[in-house]
Amino acid sequence: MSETLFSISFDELCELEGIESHYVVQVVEYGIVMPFNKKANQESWLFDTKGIPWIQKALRLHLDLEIDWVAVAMVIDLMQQKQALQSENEAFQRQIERFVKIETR
Amino acid sequence: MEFKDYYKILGVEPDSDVKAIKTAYRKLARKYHPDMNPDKGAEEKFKEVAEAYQVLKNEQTRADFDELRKYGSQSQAGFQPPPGWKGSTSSSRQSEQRHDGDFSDFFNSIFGEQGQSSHQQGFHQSRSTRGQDIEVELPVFLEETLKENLKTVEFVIPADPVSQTHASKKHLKVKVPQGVMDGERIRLKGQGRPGFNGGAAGDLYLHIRVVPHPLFDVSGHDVTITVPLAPWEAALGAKITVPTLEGKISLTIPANTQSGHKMRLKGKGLKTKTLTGDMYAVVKVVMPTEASEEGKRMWKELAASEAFEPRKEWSDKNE
Repeated sequence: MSETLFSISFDELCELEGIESHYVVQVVEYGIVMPFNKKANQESWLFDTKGIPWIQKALRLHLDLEIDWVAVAMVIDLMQQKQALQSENEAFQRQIERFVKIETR
Repeated sequence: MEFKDYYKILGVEPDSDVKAIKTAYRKLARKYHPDMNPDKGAEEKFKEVAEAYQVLKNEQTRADFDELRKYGSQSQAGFQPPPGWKGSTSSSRQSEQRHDGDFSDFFNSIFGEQGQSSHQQGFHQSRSTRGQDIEVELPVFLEETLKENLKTVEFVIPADPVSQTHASKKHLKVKVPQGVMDGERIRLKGQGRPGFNGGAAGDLYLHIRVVPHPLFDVSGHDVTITVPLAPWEAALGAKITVPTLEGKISLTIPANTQSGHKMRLKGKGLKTKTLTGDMYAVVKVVMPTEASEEGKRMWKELAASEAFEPRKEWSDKNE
C-alpha cells in the first residue's frame, strides 16, 4: 500500500510537468498559492495538493495569454471565489429542495 | 496534410504588423482558453490559435511561413513541404521539447518541434522523462469520513505512444484518512504513469468527492438535517428520535416551535483528528396529506377558538 499524502514539496512541484522553479516562486510571491511553511527555506516549502491545479492554471494563463502576474493572481482569486460560491450555492439549493416544493398554478 | 493559413486562423491580413497579430491572438486566446472557456471544442480552437501565434509572432518563423504560404496555399488538402525544405529555423533545434506534441502535423513538418519549446517555456523537459500524473475521482460516503478507511481504487493507466505501452488496469489499496473533505486531493507518490528513459513514475491523485447524502447536508465540518414535524408536535412540543451520522439520538422539541427553527447538537458533525463539527436540526412542519373527519372537525374547532393571525405583518405594512 502506498503512502497517502496531502502535500507536495517544492522540488517535486517543479518536477511535475517540468514547471520551472522561478515560476513556482512567482506563484507564491503573488499569493496565488501559499506553502504551509512560507517562512522556511524555499527548498523545504510544502504545498497542499489542492493547490496544484491552481498553480498549473496560473502558469497556463501567464504563458498562453501573456498576462502579467498581478492580473493572473486576480483572475485566480476570482475563479476560486466563483468556485466557492458555486459549491455554496449548490449546498443551499439542496437544502432548499428539502423544504420547498414548487407548485405552479 | 492540410495547409494551415495562420493569418486566416488569427483573422488578420498577411501584411499585418506584429502588434495587430498580438492583439488578434489575445482576443482569440481570451475567448477560447480552456481555463476561461469550458465549452467542448474551445481547447482545440485555442491550440490552433496558439500555434498560429507561435509562428507569426517570430519574425524568422513568420518569414519561413510566408514563403511556404506562396507555395502551399493553392493545394489546400494535399499539402507537402517542398522537397528539401529546411526552414531557416529548423537547424537550431533546442533540447527543450515536449513529447506530447500539442501542435499540428503541419506545424511539426515545417518547424519541427523546436518551435514548441518557447510556447512551453514554463514547462521544461529533460531527456529522462517523468511519467505523467493521473487523476481519478474517488467517491466517499459521508459516514466513511468519520474514521480512517481502507478503499480499493481501480484506475486505468492510459496507453503511451512514446514508450509504446498499452493501457493497463490497476488496483490499489488506499488509506483514506479520517476527516477528508470534498475537493481534497490525495497524492499517491509513484503510482501514476511510468517514467520514460529512467525517469521517475508520475503520481496518482485521488480527487475526493463526498457523495451527497439523502438526509444530511454538509457545510464545512457541520452537518444539517431537516426534521419533519407534525403540526401538533410543533405546537405542543415532543420528544423525537433523530438520526445522526453515528446512530440515533433523542431530541426534545420545545412547544411552539416554528418551521425553519434551527437547533444545534454539539459534536455530532464531521470529525477530523483535531476538531469535531456540530449537527444542526432544522424543523419543517408538515401537514398530513389527508385529514380524517374527526381531524377536520378538530381543526375547525381550533380555527374558531384561536385569534392567531399568521399574516399580521402584511396588514401592518399595508395600513
